Amino acid sequence: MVNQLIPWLVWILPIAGALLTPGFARIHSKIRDYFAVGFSFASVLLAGSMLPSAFAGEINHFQLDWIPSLNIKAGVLADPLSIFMANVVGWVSFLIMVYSLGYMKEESGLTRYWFLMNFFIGNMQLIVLSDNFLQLFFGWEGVGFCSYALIGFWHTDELKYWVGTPGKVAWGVPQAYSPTHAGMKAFITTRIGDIAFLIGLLILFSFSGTFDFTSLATKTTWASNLASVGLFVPVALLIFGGAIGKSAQFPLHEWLPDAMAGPTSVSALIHAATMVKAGVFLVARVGPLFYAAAIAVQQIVPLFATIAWIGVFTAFLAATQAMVSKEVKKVLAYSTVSQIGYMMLGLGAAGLAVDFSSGYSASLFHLSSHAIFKAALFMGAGALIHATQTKYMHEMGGLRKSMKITFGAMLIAAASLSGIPPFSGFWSKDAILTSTLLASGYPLSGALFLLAVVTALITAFYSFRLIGMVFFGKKSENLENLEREGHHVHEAPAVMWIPYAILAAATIVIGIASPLFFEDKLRVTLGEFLESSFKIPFTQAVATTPALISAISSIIALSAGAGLGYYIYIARRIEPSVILQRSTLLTSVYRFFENRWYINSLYYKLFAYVTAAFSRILFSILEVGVIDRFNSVFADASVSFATLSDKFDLGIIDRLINGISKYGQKFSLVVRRIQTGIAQYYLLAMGVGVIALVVFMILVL
Amino acid sequence: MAFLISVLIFIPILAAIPTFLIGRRKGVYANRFSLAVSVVILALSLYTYAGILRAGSGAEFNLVEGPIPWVTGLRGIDYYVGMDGLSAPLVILSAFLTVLVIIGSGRLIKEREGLYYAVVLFFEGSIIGFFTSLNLILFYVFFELVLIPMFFFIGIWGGPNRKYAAFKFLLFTFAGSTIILLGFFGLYAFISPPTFNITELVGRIPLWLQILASIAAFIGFGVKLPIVPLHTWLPDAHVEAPAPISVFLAGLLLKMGGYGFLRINLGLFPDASRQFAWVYILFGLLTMFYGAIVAVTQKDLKRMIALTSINHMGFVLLGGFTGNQIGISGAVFQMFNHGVAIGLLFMLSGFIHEQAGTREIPGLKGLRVTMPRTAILLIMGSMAAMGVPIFSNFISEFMVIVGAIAVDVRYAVAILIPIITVAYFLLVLRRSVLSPPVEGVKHHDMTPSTTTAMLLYLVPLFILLAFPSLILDVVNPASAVLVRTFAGV
Repeated sequence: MVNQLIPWLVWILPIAGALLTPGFARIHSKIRDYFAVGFSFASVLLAGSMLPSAFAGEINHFQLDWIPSLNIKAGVLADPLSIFMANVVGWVSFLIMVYSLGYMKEESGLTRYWFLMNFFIGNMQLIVLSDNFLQLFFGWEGVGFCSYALIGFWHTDELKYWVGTPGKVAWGVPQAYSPTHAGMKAFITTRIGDIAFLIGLLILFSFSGTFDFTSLATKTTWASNLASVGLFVPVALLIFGGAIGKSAQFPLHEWLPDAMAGPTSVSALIHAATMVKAGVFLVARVGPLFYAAAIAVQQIVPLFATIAWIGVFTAFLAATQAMVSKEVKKVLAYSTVSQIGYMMLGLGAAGLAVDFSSGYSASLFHLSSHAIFKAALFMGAGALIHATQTKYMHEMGGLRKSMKITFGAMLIAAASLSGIPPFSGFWSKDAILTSTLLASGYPLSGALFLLAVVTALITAFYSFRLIGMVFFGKKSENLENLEREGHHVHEAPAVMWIPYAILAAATIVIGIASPLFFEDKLRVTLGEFLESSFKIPFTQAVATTPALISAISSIIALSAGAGLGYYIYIARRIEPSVILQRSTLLTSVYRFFENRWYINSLYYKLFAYVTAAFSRILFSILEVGVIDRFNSVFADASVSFATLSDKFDLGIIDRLINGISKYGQKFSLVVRRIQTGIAQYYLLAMGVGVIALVVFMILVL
Repeated sequence: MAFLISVLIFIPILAAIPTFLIGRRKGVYANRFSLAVSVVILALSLYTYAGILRAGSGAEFNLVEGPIPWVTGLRGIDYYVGMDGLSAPLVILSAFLTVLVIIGSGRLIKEREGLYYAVVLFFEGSIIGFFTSLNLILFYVFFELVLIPMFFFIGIWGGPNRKYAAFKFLLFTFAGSTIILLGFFGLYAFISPPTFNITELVGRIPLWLQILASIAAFIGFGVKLPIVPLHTWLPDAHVEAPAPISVFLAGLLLKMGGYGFLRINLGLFPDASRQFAWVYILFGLLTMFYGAIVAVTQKDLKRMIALTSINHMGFVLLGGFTGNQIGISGAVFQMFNHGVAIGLLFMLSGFIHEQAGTREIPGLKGLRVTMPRTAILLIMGSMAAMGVPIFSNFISEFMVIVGAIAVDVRYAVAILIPIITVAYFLLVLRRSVLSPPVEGVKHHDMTPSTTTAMLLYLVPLFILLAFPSLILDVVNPASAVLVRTFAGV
């Protein structure tokens, strides 16, 4: 058993660290920095100490009273899923915190930075360890806030911090955004998902009377009640909407590429390794719950097919945009969106397959391997940006000699991303491809598989493009200019490269351990957990034919994509612009991808501009033109009514005014000071009231 | 202490006279004296509240005084006060906000301070009287008494356009209260034996009378709450009122409407309310959406905050007329939370106005650099108003929505409100707080002591996030009673 305090402390410690940051900052800036890292380290050590319990398949559930009158409890749930996730989050966060020591060294506003980073980690662990929806939602909003604040970290909005190419316009909408704009865009877009999530879970609450995951799993009458009014699938999809927003899936994916306006360490932590995985985690957390319930009410296909299709479509959509991005961080951002699409695909396919556990564990496996290699890639990209003072890949080039360690680490991580065996990414992506083949009961599973394979091809292509453009070829003009000015490009300091070197090494270790035991151990642990917690049957046996098919197709796709990428960008046999010039079709496709399929522009036109215009119209026409005027008419009418009564009953009112003004010089002074006759009208009306009162008394009594 | 409620009502009213006299010597003395009085009142009201909380007696009226015949010869016009789970949170809210208003006025009010603090105390007494009245005539008297200080506040210490605003405010609310009075008279006329006592009236009003009287009450309280389209007095009054008075306006005056809806419409006219609950709910939704949408493009910071509070008060109407316990308790909780959060925002707008000389959002730049403490407080206050779940506002909004969903799943559209709310708060923060400062502009930031005073606003919101039962254990029994009357059991 795990000590009761440990899971609480895992998320409370970073939050406490965050709250103490301003205090430490008063002592010394170094103390502030090291303590911030120290708190995240303490948290991850505790998370690590729970690992044995996870492999033993234990479920530790601790509760406290919170809102007794609604029977809502606060609690932590440390089961294999949450412990696994807490460790992925914790270790990657800790390494990124260490990296920040170097990366953020020369920035100002670091108290805010450390505060938000630790506050973020705490809230993320809160999401992971919550035992109920409500508490999870608190963490959910908390990470959203930190994301908003950290994207807009450089809130002065200087042009060098903008994301996108300034001056570029797609369909009348500018395509470059300032950090604060990007932060707001992220917050509002994810908020749309959050709201859907909130609607869903509140409806769920009003049907089940509980937010608690374990209670929802044990008494399942809520599912049939929901299904009987036709709300089962809508509620599940609304909750899934939260996951879509946080994990930047289509149609709420447009915020993540622009979130790259934040510091690179933030992109690595929040927008690659952890927060964007919260959506996947949510589906993993409640997916089995809904799966078990969906079997009972026979609603599996509409629910899980939606998840799978959104996942695979997003994977494809984002991958195409990663192919044409010019900024190194944006390639990685699109790639993140795309890879998360894979994870969603895995979870969707899990529901469609006979054996729920294989897609489920595949998706979580890919989650962890992606967290590791993508964090490494981002941190490497941060080092590149520091060294070359540009975010554009075409302004780098030929860096493999001057930044050897970064080159090595990023090469390994990119190989893992493209799915080259034996790196971890190959096994985890392969497991997802296999899971789509296992969804044989679903008629369109072949299409899911095909799209996923095409995406794998594109992934390999853009990974090689990135490596090729940055590390191979000749030095760019920008670098030569820098050298002429005396800035020689050099390797990042150790405090920066050690974290991503560790992650690159982890990619290899997991890659080697996967086929030996790791992948299977994960599958069995999670499968048994699903069986004991949700009564989802678990079959130990592995289907070999689908695994073989998927491995072969993935290697073919990989070779095609990587080969093309190698030919163009590493071997530099052909200039990409030359290919584009030759074909108008290719050029228009390129433009279409580069302009983000015009989805971004559409959203701006449809939502941002229309809402503002709507509010303006509502205010100017309805508020000022109609309601205010109506009210003035009403006011005028009452004034003339009062005037009428004035003529009608002058005597009484005069006496009243005189009587009241005697009450004090002060008050009448005040009345005179205001002197618009308002006070008189007031008294008039009061007089009318008194008369009415008298008349009434006479009539009644 | 048998006369505790009378003490809470009349000590501030009586203390207004010495405050005024002291203030003639030196303004700051009036501030100190009134602060002392209001702190005592806060302590007493907390003591009362703790008593109700400990006894768990939110369902019945505690510390009842009366009925003591007031107008002799007329049956049922009595001095009759008491406190139950609906009124107790609003009483401590009144006492709490008065203390903070007095603290906050120290820097912002510089003329005729004696009169000002006297009127503040008069206002406190009247509003506590309103929340604790159990007789409709007494209720009406306090309802009117509250208007007078408010009228002077706007008329004397208001902004450049104060005459228009004071006039509009008075006309609207006075028209509303007159209509309510007509409704009350109607009740008196047709019930036998005639009475104005709330406890006697419950369950004895025929349906037709309930319907007529509830129309009157709907208009009267609707002006106060305010319901769209009866709201236009509110932005004008806020824009002209000095910042501390806006705290009263939004923090307490609007709550009179909410309380009236719960106490009178729901408690006295349950059958009519049940039949027309959908009307109330639709008006609630309309108010929420309209307030939120119109706030988006406001240029004046204070006007925007005022419109936000319209949107938030819509939650009260929606929650109350779900007729279920979670909705009604949520409505009361929402009133408390909103009162505190909006108070902070209005005070901050006052400080910003004082320092920057403008409240126009485009004219405010780089507050994070020029006045960092104010900026951080503004961010925190905005988060509370947005319903970000680090303050108790989130819990109350969520309770109201759960209650509404339990009535009809389609009312879940109410959750769309927070998207709009977030959008305009973030727009404001981005333009005014995060933007680069204008070169050479210097503001004085809040002193640490003022900052501490402002942080006091957030204390209850934090505490109630962790321990919502501190309020809900008092409110729930009272709302359970309302649920029973509403269900007609």
